[in-house]
Amino acid sequence: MKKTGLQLILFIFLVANGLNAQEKPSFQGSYQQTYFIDMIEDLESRYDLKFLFGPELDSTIVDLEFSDVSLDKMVEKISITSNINFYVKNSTMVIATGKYKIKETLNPAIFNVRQLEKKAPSPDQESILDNIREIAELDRDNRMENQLIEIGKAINRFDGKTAIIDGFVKEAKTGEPVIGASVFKKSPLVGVITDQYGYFSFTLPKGKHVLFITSAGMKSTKRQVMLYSDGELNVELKNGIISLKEVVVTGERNTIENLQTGFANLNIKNIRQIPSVMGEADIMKIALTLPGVQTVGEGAAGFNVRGGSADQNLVLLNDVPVYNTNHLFGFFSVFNPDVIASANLYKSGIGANYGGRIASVFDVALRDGNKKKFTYKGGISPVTLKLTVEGPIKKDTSSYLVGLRSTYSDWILSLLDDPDFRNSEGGFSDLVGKVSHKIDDNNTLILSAYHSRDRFKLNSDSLYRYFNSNAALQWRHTFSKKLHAISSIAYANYNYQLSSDQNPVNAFKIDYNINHYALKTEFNYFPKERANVKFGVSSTLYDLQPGRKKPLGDQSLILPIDLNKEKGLETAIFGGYEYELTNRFSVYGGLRLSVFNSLGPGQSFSYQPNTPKEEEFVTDTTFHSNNEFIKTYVGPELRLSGRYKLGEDLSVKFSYDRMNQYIHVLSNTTAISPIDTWRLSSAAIKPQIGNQYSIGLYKTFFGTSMEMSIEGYYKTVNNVLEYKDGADLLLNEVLETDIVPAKGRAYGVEVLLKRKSGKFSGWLSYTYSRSEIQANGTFASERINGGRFYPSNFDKPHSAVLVSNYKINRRVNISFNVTYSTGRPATFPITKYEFKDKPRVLYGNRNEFRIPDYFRTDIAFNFDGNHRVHKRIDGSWSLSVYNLTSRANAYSVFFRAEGNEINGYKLSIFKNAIPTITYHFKLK
Amino acid sequence: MRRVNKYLVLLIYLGISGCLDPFDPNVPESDQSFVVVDGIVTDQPGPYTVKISRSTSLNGDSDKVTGAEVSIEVQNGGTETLIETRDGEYETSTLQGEVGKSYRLNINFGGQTYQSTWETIHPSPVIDSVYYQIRTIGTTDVEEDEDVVQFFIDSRGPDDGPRYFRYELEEVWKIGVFWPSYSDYIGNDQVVLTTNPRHTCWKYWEPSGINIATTAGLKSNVLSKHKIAFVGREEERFTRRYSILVKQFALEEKEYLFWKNLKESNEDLGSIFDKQPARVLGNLKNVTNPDESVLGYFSASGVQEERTYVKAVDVTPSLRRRPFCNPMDTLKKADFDMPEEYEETLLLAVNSGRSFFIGFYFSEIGGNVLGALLALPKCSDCTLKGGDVNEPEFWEE
Repeated sequence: MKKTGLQLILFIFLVANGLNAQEKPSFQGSYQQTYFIDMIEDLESRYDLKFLFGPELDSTIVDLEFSDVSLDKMVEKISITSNINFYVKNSTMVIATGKYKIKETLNPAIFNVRQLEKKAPSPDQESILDNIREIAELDRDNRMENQLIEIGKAINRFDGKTAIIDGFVKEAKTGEPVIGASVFKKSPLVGVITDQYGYFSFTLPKGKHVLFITSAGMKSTKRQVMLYSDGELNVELKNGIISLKEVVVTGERNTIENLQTGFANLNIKNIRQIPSVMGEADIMKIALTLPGVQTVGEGAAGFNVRGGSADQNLVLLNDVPVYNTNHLFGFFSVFNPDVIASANLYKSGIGANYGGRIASVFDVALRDGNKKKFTYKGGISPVTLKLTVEGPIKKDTSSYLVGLRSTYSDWILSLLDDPDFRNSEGGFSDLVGKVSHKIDDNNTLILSAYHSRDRFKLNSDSLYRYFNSNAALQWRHTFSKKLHAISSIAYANYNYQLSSDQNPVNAFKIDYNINHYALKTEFNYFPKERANVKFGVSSTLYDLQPGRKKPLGDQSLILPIDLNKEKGLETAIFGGYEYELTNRFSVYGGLRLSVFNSLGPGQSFSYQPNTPKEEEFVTDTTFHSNNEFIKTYVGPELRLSGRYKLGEDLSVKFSYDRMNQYIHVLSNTTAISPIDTWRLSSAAIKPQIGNQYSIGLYKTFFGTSMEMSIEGYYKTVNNVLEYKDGADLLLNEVLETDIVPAKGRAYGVEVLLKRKSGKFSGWLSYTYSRSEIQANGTFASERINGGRFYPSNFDKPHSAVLVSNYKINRRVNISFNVTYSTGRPATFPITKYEFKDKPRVLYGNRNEFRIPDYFRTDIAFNFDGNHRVHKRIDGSWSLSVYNLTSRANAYSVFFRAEGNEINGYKLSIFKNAIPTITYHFKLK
Repeated sequence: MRRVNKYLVLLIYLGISGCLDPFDPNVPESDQSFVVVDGIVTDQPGPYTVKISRSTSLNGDSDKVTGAEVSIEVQNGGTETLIETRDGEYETSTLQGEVGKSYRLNINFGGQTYQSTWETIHPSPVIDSVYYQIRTIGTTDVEEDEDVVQFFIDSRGPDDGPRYFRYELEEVWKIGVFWPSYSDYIGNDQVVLTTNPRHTCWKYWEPSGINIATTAGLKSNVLSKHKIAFVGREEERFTRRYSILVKQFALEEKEYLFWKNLKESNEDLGSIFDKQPARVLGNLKNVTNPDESVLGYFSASGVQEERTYVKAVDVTPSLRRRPFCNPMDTLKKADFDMPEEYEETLLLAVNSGRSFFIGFYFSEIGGNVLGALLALPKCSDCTLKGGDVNEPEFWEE
């Protein structure tokens, strides 16, 4: 509480200042049934005035008229019409004080802070104090914004015309870096986005500039700088207290300015405003509301970007791939929302520094621990318990963050009467940790680690368990203002086990394991103003055990199966150059050269000439020694982007991406199943190669509060993996005999309309897209649907999503979402026949039919605790209803021979509306 | 719906009501029709039957192929032509399948020649035992559990013998009625032993599910505790005496895969991790027009059989519980003005088959017949429950 005293003294000083009234200008204005915010904008534009107020006032309707009045008189009029008190300071600032009047003669209580504290203030006094603190803080912010900050040494001001300004953007209260904040100057617009360390760096002409710093969920601010030479500017952004204007998705800089097509930044801040199943806020489920991102079914694992399969997404957690992104069959993602800062989704316009998957990059960044003080927070939902602990190791220098999440489902299952439930178990837990340490101004070390466990056993049958582990050590080094580097060493592991011990004679255990070792160095260089070069090298060694079956117990007769290990080395050299040619025209060109070596030990098979790849045609088996190069693939990948601004609020962009993928999930189920395996490209399995052309038109309205974008893309994929009928991929030694070489194409148009601020925010998107596959091999067994193009499992032509949030007041908001999409393709029987006196069906062409359309509405009411600064525990409640209309959306449609007939069925995961209450708490 | 998807079980606890609803997808009528062959030669005594038909639309009735020329060729041993005994069914007359020999099916009709691959009869391993366990399973009603009988099979063969098996099952069980009628009323308070007993019947059922097993991947050719049938109390299976016959067919791997795919795409669908349903074709092809797909299979298998009985006393009371039937009607002489009317009414009732005579209704003091006890047919006639009054030849009490 010492600090409070200090703030109050500051306040008194400010108030004293405020008493020096200046010469009074006269004001005039006329507002009929006008929004408060519009009136303020008008006033601020005409007079040298700054209004400070919370968002709850935005849409208050005012009705007043005044002409040739003094400032005080005008404020009084505004006060009457809006029913809000204001405090005028320095004749230039008008501060909303709500229902409290600030008197220029001070309340005697303020001078007796200590005494007040001892007395335990009444709630009313507390509120007054809160308000006073807020005002003092606002004022300090204002001072920061208006004072001129000198950067660099004045003595160097004549050496060259430009200088580099860099620094960190941090969250004011916790000291955590703010990722993806925009730092820019207007007219001409020059700016950058902070990286995952909150760092930014860019070149500006020397002289005076006003820099604006904005970030989703943060209060925007500005700094007036006088740039003499290269120097540093650190900015603290405030979170929450005054402004609760938070949005979930932002196109980083505004979408007009940035270079990327197909990009979205997902911010975790207010993610729980989006209703979720059983109260687990989930960043991957939020991604599904974006145009071009779809799923094969309710709760299915993973997501599909622009018609690609789920394994074509590079999902990174702190720059390390996560091989299984799902908990509980896919109902939840592995990302604990409490420890995530943000996620970036790149559907196209992917920089050369990313590679290895062909559909998208989903880059999830962990946030930093609180560098200022120890805090913890947690939550409880019907499925999980969560706890996050963080704090400084050394104040302002190093911090830690640990997040734990676990289900308590076994306990609930054990309480149930039904023996099927009692004998089942299922659950997951995950643990995330991050330590960051600033060695000095030029060096920072970051260690992050992740571990998750999943298991389920259904009705005493087989037990499935899987584990994800990943760890990375990153070293960030600044050579100079113009050049810095990030180097990392990373390890990832994914393994699963499937065991069955019900019958001791057949008891077995199957396991799968993949190890991923990676080294990467990336340089970020700013050669001159408005130019940025990123280049580097990365290398990944994959070492995987594609499957092993072992007997379990002495009685088991199971013969062990041990598939050959697979090893591969993926190396890439990349460089990309981004340059703003003119104010209107920016370009990016990147090249990534990826090389994949399939390494021994291993075996490869030779087949008789002119025969399909089937086991009976194998003529020879070649055994390869350890680390022998069995096969090498070289893939140059060109990446191009361009942006042309047609106006301040309108731009057009294009991009071209070529990507290679050397590691694939083998799956012939529609949804990713827990026993699917990642396998490497080899002599027999060629890398998947994707080419994507994308073009978009972006427009903002009403300042930047509304955004609209239209994007179109065309994509081709070579060497898509399709499977023969009835293929068995588990423990399959000769994979190529079950795979049909195929190619894919996808195209579509995505329209997004978004309102980012105000009481009513959200977005509406519509997507038309197609995704098709063609398998037209030489042999009949390599042709599917007669060699014609047919819809892939992810082909859902029409899809529309509405995500909306309405703030009733600071503490209560309502979210309402609607999702619609065409049903996914399915294979239906075309003919029936009798065999052994029972009816059987023959299936027709693959994916010729569709399951019924998907439609769902969700609603959520979120109640925040009050925002008093000194409250120790900040609690919030969320009440949501998923699938409000109780529509039984089809997950699949299938047919069964039952008795003497063929019956069609529709399987739905949810048939009812699912209400959930979630409680979150946070220790301040 | 007993075959509840096991993944859904866990989801249900999460408040998720995974569920199945009937669904009619409106698949348009297909003009494609395929030839379907269902034929087998075993090491058991013949005759062996080959059925030929054409596939139909999903709601269509079977379309038999008549007048085809059908023959089974024995490798290095001549050919036997089959005779069409019923529409679309062709039978051998003298052929006797032998272990180790290979057979091939040839069919000619409509100017097309169809032929199977060579199939060899492998001996089926000896069945060690067929046994059962009673299990309690949950039902959709939380309050009520249900007992079921799970049958298992153990078998053992030489390690270098066949390791792929298919099972066919035949269930036979004896049923009774709630109000058995042992005598026929012939008038004047006289009865004779019934000439047309309807109180004891046998019911037959062949479960339709495809049941396959393999010992491939095991050190020795031992099949242990393989689940063959999962039987509930439906249709009074365990009220008297129940019997199940298990036929074990020895298969080659490719036939096993045929059955596995057929099972996966016809019976196992409906989980949240469904495979892409397969287009399952067998071992036959059209020699004249190789592009035409032929459905079905011509197999040659060694067969072993084993029959097991389950007595009503050996199962739980809930399994042997009989469905209750409404109380009897009582026809009292006193309710009629004239004795002839009583006589006529009673004879009409029992002779028309609308009622069954159960017994007389006596005066408590004198032993006089005061009337007759009658039961409704559904309570006294087991053939109405789908039973057959003739005792099967093999039946053992």
